[in-house]
Amino acid sequence: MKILAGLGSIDDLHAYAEAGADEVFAGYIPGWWIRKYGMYSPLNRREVLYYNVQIGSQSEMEILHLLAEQLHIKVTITLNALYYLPEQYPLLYTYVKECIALGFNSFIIADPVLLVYLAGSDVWNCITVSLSGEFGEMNQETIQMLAETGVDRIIFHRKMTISEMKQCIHPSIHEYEAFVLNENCHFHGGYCSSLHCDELTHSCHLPYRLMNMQKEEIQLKQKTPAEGYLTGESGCGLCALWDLRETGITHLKVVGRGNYAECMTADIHALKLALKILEDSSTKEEYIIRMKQELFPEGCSRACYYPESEHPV
Amino acid sequence: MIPYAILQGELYTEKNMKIEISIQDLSFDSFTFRLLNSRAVSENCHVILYFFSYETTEYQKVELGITPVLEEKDETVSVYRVIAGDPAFKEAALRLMKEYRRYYDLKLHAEDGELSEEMTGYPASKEKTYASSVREWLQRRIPKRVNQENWQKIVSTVTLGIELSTEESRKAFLQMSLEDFRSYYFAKQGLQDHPLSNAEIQYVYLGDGYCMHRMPAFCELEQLLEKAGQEGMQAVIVLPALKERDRISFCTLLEQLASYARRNHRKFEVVVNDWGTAEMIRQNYADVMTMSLGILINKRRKDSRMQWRLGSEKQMNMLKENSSNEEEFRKYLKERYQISSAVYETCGYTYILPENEQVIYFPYYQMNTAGHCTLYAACHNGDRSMQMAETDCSKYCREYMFMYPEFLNMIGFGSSVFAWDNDIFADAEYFEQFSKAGKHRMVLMELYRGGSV
Repeated sequence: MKILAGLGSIDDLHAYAEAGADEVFAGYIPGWWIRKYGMYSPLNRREVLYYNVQIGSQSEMEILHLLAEQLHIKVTITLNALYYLPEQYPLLYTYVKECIALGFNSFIIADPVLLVYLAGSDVWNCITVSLSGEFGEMNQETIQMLAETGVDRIIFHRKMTISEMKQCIHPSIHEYEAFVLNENCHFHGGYCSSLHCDELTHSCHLPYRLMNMQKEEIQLKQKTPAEGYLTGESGCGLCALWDLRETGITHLKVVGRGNYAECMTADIHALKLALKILEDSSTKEEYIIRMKQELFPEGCSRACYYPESEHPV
Repeated sequence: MIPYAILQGELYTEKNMKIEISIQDLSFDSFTFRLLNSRAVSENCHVILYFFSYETTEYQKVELGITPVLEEKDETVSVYRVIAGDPAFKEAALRLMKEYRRYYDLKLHAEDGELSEEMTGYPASKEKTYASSVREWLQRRIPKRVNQENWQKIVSTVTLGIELSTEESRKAFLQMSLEDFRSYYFAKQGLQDHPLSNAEIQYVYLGDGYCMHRMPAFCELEQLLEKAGQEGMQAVIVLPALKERDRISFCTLLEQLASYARRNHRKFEVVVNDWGTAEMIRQNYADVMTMSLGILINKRRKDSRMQWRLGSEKQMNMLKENSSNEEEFRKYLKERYQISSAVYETCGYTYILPENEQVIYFPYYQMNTAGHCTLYAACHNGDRSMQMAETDCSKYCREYMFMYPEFLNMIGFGSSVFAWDNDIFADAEYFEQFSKAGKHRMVLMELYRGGSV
């Protein structure tokens, strides 16, 4: 299985490659789009202004292309907003052509309208498309439809169990990606209608209470943040690597565009190590025991992406 | 590096070739940028810089003639420094650095609510105040008095549907006469005095767009369909998104509905919330089912905190359309799925609806929905983040809900977070902007979505 990491700045590419990343995904928003649409109609799902989460300008993309070629790293561009304005679809077609001219022909798409639009255009045969987990619910019928459309890779959303993923593996699609580290959001990204901006917190971070009919508040567990770095503190699927491999997952996603580069590098490194242990293990139990001993001697975050894969040990 | 979204550059070389540049370092009198070594940079260039203004949320344009000086070079990239004495540059740079620093400091040192308060006036102190119960929460939102005259015309023209999303409402619908049920239903919602309680109910929405566990069993659905037919109401089936874990129950239900429809020579309207179900119906049940797009696939930006979102009116107007307004896609939906209608929600602002009949839910609008039920996680595991597939759903949603700070107008039922449109019951003119004299179908959602209040 290959490691795919979120890249927020080209200055981090070397470090990620050295740590073991095989691919990166990154955002590119041309200046004219930012000035015209801002983050009210964003190009991708990083909808902030004051963070370095997008690669930046055309000149940065040129540098990225060269560096990626030198390091033999595939770069995929995130074109994964949940929807666009009608006037933007022809602009997105032009944008895709510009990316191709810059040397990038791999895209993550979430909007079915954009998918249909590009599938009917002359760029379709020049690009490879990963269908974002934010597309919506994935089931066998959806995958069948996507296979007929010609999508190259399916990214399973965060809230699919491994057995559900297994049901969806289709012979015509050869690449499947699963989330494995960071940002295990409480909600389904494809159904998140709320704001993701600099000035307001994500709606999933707003305070809330659990109450019952008798007007009683039910106390929920309070999580104590780890001191310092802990792999997968906000979401971890390392226990599930054995099952993911058996299922047919080909790519493992490390989320984190905009995260501290040192943490991302450490995440990639940890995943690489886990994959090494996986390769050397002859049973799932052996893999989990060795992986936990090596990576989590003090205990893990328990923020499980795939709790069904957790071994009793 | 300065985030590109707040400072962009366009470099024009001697031959008027343009390339976007990112600004690496910025001070009040200089900046740096980098280019591939293969990019030639002449001695005299022209650059346009776009500085984001927090106050206006627009970009201030500063044009400069520049002489880039090579500062650093490796095997790939050359870094250039530009000394910029222009007063406009100095003013813009100082302002940007101040704003960026302010944001940076807040992000590092302030809580989320404090940051929002500082930047937008968001009333963070109100986050401590909650309603004591869902009944109280609902009562505060139903207007005590409305202008009856303004609502009269609406009541006579509205195409109204109601949602039966609870076991109690469905039972009452089956057992009561229509007249008694109307009184029961509107009183249960606290709307007995609202003019809409006098409107004719033409549609009844059965099912749940968010959760398979809340779908009525086929035997109950069959009775509901019969009763709706007897009362002269049209029934619409609302399906959740098909998850693989629910395949057997979902597909069985669909097959049962189709068999019923074929036996009785009927055709149902079905709201679908995933593309796989749309495909399934297209291939197998198109003779007895017509589809409309559900909320989970008719996406738009909705948030009860929109009033604190920074942005100009021009930017806010971008919310008025979504991909359902795209003409080619509408043709595609019509040709492939015979879909010409979608479900929308009243959500605090008006937007552009397609010309033909659409469906508008009110007063709630969906802000977020979980793939694994958040309520199940909280009730079963004591933590909303400890999520798993709900293999033994105990219908916690009958008893529990997530309450949010009062001023946010948000509430969590089951796997979803909803917000309340504050104006839809109070402002007849606003209501009419959606209803359009009955052109679009208005569907009243059940206000309390658990067991009895």
